[in-house]
Amino acid sequence: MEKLELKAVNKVFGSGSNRVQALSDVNFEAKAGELTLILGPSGSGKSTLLTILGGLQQPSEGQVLVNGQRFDNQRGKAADAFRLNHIGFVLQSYSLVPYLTVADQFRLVDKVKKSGNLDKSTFQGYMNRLGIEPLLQKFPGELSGGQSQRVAIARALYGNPDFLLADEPTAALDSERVQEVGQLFKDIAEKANKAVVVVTHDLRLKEKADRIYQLVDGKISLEKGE
Amino acid sequence: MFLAWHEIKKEKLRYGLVIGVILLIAYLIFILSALAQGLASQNTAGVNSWQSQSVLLSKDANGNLAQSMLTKADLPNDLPAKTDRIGLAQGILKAGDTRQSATYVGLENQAAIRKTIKLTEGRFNQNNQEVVLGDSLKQSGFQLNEKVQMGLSQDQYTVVGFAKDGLYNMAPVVYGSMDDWAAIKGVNSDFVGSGLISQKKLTKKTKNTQILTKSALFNKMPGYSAQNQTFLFMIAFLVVISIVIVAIFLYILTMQKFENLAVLKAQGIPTSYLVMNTLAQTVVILVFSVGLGTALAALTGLAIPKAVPMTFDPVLMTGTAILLVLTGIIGAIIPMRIISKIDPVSVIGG
Repeated sequence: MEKLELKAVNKVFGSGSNRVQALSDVNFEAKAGELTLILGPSGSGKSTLLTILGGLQQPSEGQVLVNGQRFDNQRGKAADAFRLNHIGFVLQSYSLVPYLTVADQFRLVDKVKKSGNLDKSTFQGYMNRLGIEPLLQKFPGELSGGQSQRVAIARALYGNPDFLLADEPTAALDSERVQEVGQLFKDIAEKANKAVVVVTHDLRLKEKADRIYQLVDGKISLEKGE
Repeated sequence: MFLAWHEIKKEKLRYGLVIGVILLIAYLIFILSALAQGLASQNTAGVNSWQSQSVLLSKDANGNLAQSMLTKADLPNDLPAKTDRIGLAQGILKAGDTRQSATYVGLENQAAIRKTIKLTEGRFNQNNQEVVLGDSLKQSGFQLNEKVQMGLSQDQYTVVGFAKDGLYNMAPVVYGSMDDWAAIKGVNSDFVGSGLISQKKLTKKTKNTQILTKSALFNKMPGYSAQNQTFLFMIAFLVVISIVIVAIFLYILTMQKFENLAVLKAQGIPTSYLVMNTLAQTVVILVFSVGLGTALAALTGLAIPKAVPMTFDPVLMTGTAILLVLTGIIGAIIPMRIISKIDPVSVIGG
């Protein structure tokens, strides 16, 4: 079973009077088959947590484990390769390459990740659910915020990652789409057996989540789940 | 290449403008190179056509063959084969109202370098008072069988032929006999010529003489080095400008794409892939710009009047084009370095 864990993670920025404790003794886990939410207000450390989970930065203390193996000590190309092959990122903005059509966004994944991407029929299913097929020949500049976010989700899924990490994925979506995307994340977790982690302050996603963490001032607590 | 090509296709105007700017610089470089070579050729065409390797001339001439005067005592013994006496005299060639600055080149009939001169019309001079003119003089109005006067001499000379590449130190050449050279130069029989010119390497010299290689002789020609260095400086400056333009353009583009590149890195797209795309983009820009600049210069070469001293040498143009592309790649170094240093966390926050 795919599992992403943080054990006793601390993250400190700066030193002396500029010292900021972004994360304090954070223990966290996200399992395949589950949709995990990290809720918290702005500045609570959610994005820091997400970047540490994704191997983009290292904790000051503690460990990041992938299936029980240390991941926080990987650097450079090894970390890049891990992200490319195992992690799908959905970010708030800039997720799409502005000069590539939607169809070419997926071709780019094919260019850098030669194997292991979604097969045609599975991907077609995601496209239908996200309603992006009519957008394939459009450039990101021609899409609405909601359409862009849906394409970004599809793009992250296209690489067939074990872990899907999303940073405020519903920020630009209307309520109807929030429910659809929330259900999609849940289905991805359950039916495709992925570990889906969503950092958000959108409470509308709570009902879909299997596990919910609250993060306040860098301190985490488990609100729902075991 | 995938990202590079798609970006260029999407941003046609933006890339079209930079290609246009570099194209114009490349075009200017080609035109200046052609002009530099054309003008240099006007100095050297004659000597080059003689297939000469080295020259012996008087020390006092400061390397200027036209100012050199040799006496019999200045001539070394045991000269190698294909070494000829030559007499140079600069003056005005006149025929009626037609006047033109020219360099008289006196040669003996048996001179080896006469075999290297290619006639475009008529025949070689066999006797005194016969001359062969550089073919550019034909465009100045001089004609075959016409009587002309040269320099200080009051004698009349008959034009019996025209010769290819007849230029020495920017002036058209008038080939004639050594006897006529003395008359035109206004010297007595103590002087036997301006120098010795050899298709072999000269090694023996006398007290008052010096030996120069062909390239040293060119460099001593009045204005030749200064002219070449001026062109070289202008060309080098334009090459540097093209590198700076490429660097500035790619830097601005990279900074505009900063967040996007950071996200791509966050998504695991290897830095090497992004860096190679920037390199590929640079090469595409340069190949397009320089290729179009080359084509434009070649068309200019076909259209330009013969009187304009430009030489569009395909080998030189190809070499210059390759140099421009290679040096232009230097402009991609800063953007590539920026890409390699982008921290994906910067766009995610945290």
